[in-house]
Amino acid sequence: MRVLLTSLRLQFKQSLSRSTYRFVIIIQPILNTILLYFILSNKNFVNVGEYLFVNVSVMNLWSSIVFSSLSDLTREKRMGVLGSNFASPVKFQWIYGGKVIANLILALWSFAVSYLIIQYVFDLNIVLPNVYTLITVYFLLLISFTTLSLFLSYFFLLNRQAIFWINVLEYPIYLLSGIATSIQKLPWFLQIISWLLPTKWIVGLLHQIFNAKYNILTSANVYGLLILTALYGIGIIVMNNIMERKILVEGQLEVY
Amino acid sequence: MRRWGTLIWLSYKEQYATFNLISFMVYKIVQPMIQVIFFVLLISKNGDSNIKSVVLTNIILAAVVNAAVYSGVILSNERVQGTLKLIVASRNDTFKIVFLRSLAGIIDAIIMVIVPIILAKFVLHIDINSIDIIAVVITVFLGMLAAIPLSLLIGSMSLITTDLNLFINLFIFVINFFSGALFSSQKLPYLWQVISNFIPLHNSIQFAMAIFNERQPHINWQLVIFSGREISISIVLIIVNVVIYKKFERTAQKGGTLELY
Repeated sequence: MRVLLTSLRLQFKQSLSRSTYRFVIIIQPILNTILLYFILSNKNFVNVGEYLFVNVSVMNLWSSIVFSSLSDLTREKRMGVLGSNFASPVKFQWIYGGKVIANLILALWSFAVSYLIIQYVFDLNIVLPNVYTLITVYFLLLISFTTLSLFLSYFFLLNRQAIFWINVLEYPIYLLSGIATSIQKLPWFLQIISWLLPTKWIVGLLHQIFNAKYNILTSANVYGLLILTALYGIGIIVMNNIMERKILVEGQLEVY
Repeated sequence: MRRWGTLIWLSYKEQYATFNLISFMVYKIVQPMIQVIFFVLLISKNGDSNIKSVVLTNIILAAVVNAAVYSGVILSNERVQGTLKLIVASRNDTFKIVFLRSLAGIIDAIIMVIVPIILAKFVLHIDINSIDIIAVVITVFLGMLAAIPLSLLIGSMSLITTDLNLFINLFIFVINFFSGALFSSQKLPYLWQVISNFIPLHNSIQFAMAIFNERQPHINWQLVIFSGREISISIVLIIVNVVIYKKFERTAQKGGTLELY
């Protein structure tokens, strides 16, 4: 636990010192909100503000995972510290887990920024749900994204084209989370993939919490997220066993 | 002339040296295609657009942006690999070398437009028989001509900073936002509309739209105006580039920022 907290604290400092990360959590939500606002400005349904908020938030969450947590691995590899991280007596998943959680906490800023822009610049009224719901949703979001990010990190550990795949994954994930269109309209095999992504459930959940009468505990999205988190948890354990062995045998955590 | 050709070809090869066939296809075709599908679905929610024109202009936008980003990262890659100082120290004009290498992006962009257009017929059921492919290629060529210098301008910042991603992301946003392919520029406030005329790719997209929508009567004049603007933007940007690049190079030599650490 101490490792987790130390890594978390360190990551706060590291992330905030990188101007690209500051851009991702502060400027990017503003830009994304403006872009989506203009694309959807003909849209003739009432809750366009909420729609914007949900989509921009999820897009930014994904960016924060992609551009920070996963590309941190590549950065560490390039600097030559990934090997020592992995070889340290503390388990890799605690060190990396701390980093992911730190990034996700920082990503909360992007929620606030897009909320302020939509509410005050575009003057679209968003009625926020009560605090307990928000905290529950945020907690769910935190655990599901942390497990996903940890699970993905194992695939990127040995992959030299990690940064390439990171960039390529962005739009497919947006598409599969139901940001652009309802998932039911996609072919069946894509629907199955989208069920395996927490973003799909989060988009659904965020849409639901704006309905004041909705009881979050009855939402299928919550259970979907929890089941998914458990699945990813098992995935992490399995991958950890496989990769630890593989890395010890191949030993390729450095650039060359 | 032959040396120029070699530079462009080598740079093209170098770009994909680490790719295998699958990642090459994913990067070149699948990813831009999915980006197009994402935006087309988003735009079609408005329900007022000519879908064929939207798909085609978005394919052009995705291809040009993806290909132009390469020119931005040339210098930054050199810096990471430790070869930037050799290029700067060479007796040739460094900017010329970088500029020629970035022209490889044009070949890229043209491939990245033609294949998705053919795919769009099967995936999105777009009627492609009536499309004038030469006009598409001209559009892409014009767009790249203006987008490359802007990307290079951003890339030259890697001489003085290592945090380039931030500027590349801004570049992508500005081009996407002002292009007019994602939403009509007329939705923008008046001042922004004026600005968008000076942003690379905006005029090329208008050029493409004029052709795809086939607004017949005064079409030729429009085309001349759009292409004229795009070429002027390109020339101005190249001149600005030369000046700024020289300045940054001097600063980098003085400050010793030609290596990663």
